[in-house]
This record gives sequence, structure tokens and C-alpha cells, in this order.
Amino acid sequence: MKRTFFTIVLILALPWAAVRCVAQAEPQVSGRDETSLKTFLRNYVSSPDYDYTTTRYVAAPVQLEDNTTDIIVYFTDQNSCGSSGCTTLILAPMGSSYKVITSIPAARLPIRILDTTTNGWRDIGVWVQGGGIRSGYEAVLSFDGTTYPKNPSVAPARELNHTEGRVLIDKGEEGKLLY
Amino acid sequence: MRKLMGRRGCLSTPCLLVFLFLPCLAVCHAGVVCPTPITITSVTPSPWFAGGTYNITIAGAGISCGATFVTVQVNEGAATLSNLTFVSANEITATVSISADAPTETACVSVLVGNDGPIQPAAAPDAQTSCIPQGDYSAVKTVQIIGGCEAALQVARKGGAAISRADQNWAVLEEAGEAHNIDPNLLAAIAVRETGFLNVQETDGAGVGVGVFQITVSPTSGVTADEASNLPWAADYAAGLLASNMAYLSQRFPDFTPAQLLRATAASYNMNPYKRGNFTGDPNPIDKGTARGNYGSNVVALMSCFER
Repeated sequence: MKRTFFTIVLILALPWAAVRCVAQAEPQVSGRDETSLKTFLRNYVSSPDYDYTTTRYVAAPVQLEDNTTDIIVYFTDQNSCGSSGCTTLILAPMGSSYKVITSIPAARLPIRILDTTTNGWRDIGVWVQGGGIRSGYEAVLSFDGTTYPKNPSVAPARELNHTEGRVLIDKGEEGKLLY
Repeated sequence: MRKLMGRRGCLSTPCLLVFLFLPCLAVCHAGVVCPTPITITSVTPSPWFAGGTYNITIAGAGISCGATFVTVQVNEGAATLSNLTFVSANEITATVSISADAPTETACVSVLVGNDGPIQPAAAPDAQTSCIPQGDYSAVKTVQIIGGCEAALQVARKGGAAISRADQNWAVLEEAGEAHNIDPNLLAAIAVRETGFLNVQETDGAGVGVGVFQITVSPTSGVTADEASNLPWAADYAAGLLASNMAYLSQRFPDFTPAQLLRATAASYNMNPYKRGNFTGDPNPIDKGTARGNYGSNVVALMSCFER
């Protein structure tokens, strides 16, 4: 009787555990990739003119085009943000480091990778709000062959009605210290 | 010519001119007086604002001749003209961009018909001489370009009540400004742009902007919702942030004029000044990354609402 009970519990728990496992497997930059990313970002933000040691960031790996793991970085500290949001980088690997595909001065979370593509690259959704834009909306950033739009609040970025996709960096993310 | 411009002193005041040079071999050969009066039939959106981009439609039978040269002038300086399209035999559309520092009082739009200028690819490639002497004006349209506070409020999409609310809290703004050596007009303008000087909290999206100044409330900002909602506290915080940004920008870009530094500082409230590429030292694209691409210039324009 006892064994049957535990078997039932086990059977019920397994799917739940599997779902949790998948949910927690949200892509993150780790290991050697994280080291090289940190090195790149430290070089990117360093400046003698302000306290960059308080920099915080969230990094999400993503395949924007075939066979390459790109990274979207969202800075979350006060020095990286304004009333329209925070600086966001779209990075592509270059050797053992990275190159900036697009630097977006101000965007809000969440950031989503969309199921649609433009010029062979996946579209990206970012939230637009603040700076006088009271009703927020999601804007789609489409690759133009060279870069993504730098300002999600003006054309060629456009308001998104509803497009399937996956959250890469969710709202409320605090980020981790770069130093 | 002044008569044809349709508005006294138009050439001596800031003036927007659309010049159409229309060689019209085919129609002239047919014995038709060419071109017939050309009219700017629409300007959208209307009214015009300095720093804006507008679509114009020009109609007239003369266009069937094929325009070969179109320029736009604002106060005798060339404005950017793009998307020149020959929609039909009688209609041309184009996009006009008015520079941010263009004059903003009443201006006139005129169509000049002439016989000179380079041939545009869209025009008849074999167009030859015009039958209208260069310098003749065939149509005049006057448009209102709104400047100052009224225009700034429209760009900000806020009403006059926002100015009243700022005025009612002027002592708070003045105190915060004095504490950080920041013009209270700048503080007031930012609050009007952000919220219409209303104590509001974002409820969707990121949900982090709080209070009249929409100060970010998050674990990393170290600001609580109560603080951000408290006007004296928030005004002091905003003034401190602006002072810090202004000091950084003036040190980093010593060639900025006072006006450029003011616009950059205003923009820095919306877009952090510290990350590479956000500010380049080139004064023209200061607003490029800001909300609706006009935050800094709009805030500076809103300051005119508080000039005393």
C-alpha cells in the first residue's frame, strides 16, 4: 500500500519536475563565455569620468541568425538608465570576444525574441515607455541588413500588435554586478 | 513678386519656399499655357513645427509637363526634401524636413515655376525649356508654423493645465533648482514632458517610473515609491541628477555651446549620458536615441512656457 502510494506520488511528480527543469533552463551566459563577455563589457563601459564600477547587467544568449550565438545585454544600474529605460547592447561573437551589432541608448524590459525574421535575422521586441510616453507598448526591431534600429520609439521601429516569441530578459531583472 | 507671394513681407520674414521648375515641352508644343496654376493642396500633419517632417502634395495641370527640379527653402536656407514622387500627371508629393532651429512664426509656402535646375530621374528625361520665365510664382499657400510654448506642448502631447500645475508648485522647483544650481524652468519642463506634472505611477510594462518626475523605483535605484511620489524629494533628486549629468557632459564635450549643453542635459534625463555612443559630441543628433527622438529639444522648448 505504502509502495503504491509512493509510486503514484513519483509518477505525478515526474512531469512537474521535468517542467520545472525546463523552465529553469532559460538560457544564460556562463563559464568561459561569461568571462569573455565580462572582459568585453568592462572594456566597453570603463571611463575615467564616472563611477562605472556600479554597473549591473543581464545577459541573454540568443540565436539571431543561423549557427551563431549572439548576446543581448541589458544594463540595469542607475548610470545606465534614463526615463525611457536602460542601454541595451546586441552583441555578436568575434573571435574570442564580441562586436556590437547595435547599441540602443534606452529601452525597457521585457525584451523578447520574436518568431519572425527580417533579412535573415530574428526580430526583437522591446518595451517602450517613459520620457513622456505614458501608455507603454512593445516595439519590434527588425534587422536592416547591417543593424537593428537604435531608437525603439521612432521609425523604423514600429509598434507590435501581437507576435509570438519568447521572453529573453523579463521585467524586474536586477542584473549582476560587472565588477 | 511680393504680390504673388501673397503675404506682405514674406521674403523678409522667415519664409518657406517650394520651388518647382517645370520644363513642359509636350504641353507647350500643344499650344497650352503651361503650367496652369500650381497649388500646394495639402500639408500633413498641420500645423508645421520646426524640427518636424511633413508630407506635401502639389497639384496642377502644369505638372503634366514633368517637373525637373524641386527645392525647399526655409528662411533662404535649403531644407531637406525627400521622397519626391510624381503621383500622376497632375500631382507631386514630397517630404519636407524643417530643421529644428528654423524660424517658427508664420511662414509662407510658395511654388516657383522656372526653367532651370538639374533633371531628376523621375522627371521626363527629355524635358526641355519651360514656357514660364524663371522666377515666376504660380501658386501661394500660407501655412502656420507654431512656435514657443504652444508648439512645445503639442509636441509633448500635453495640455496647458500641466503648466498651471507646475506654476502652483513653483516654490518647490525653485528650491530644488537652487540647491543644485539647476534652472527651475528646466525642472518644470521635464516634469511637464514626463507626466504633465501629475503624480502618476506606471502600471504596465516595466512599471518602474513613479511620481511627477517618473523616477525609477527598483532595488538597484535605491529609490522608494514613497520618495519618488513626494514632490520636494523628487524635485531635489531630479535636480541633483541633472546637475551631475550636466557636469559630466560639459567636461566630456567642452566644445558644446551653452544651448547645446542645455539640450544635452535635458536629453540626459531620458537617455543616460555615460554609455558609449549615447552622446557623441555632435550636437545635431543629441536627441536621436531619446523618446520620440525629440526629448531634449522638446524640453528646452517647454522651458519657454515658464519664462518670467
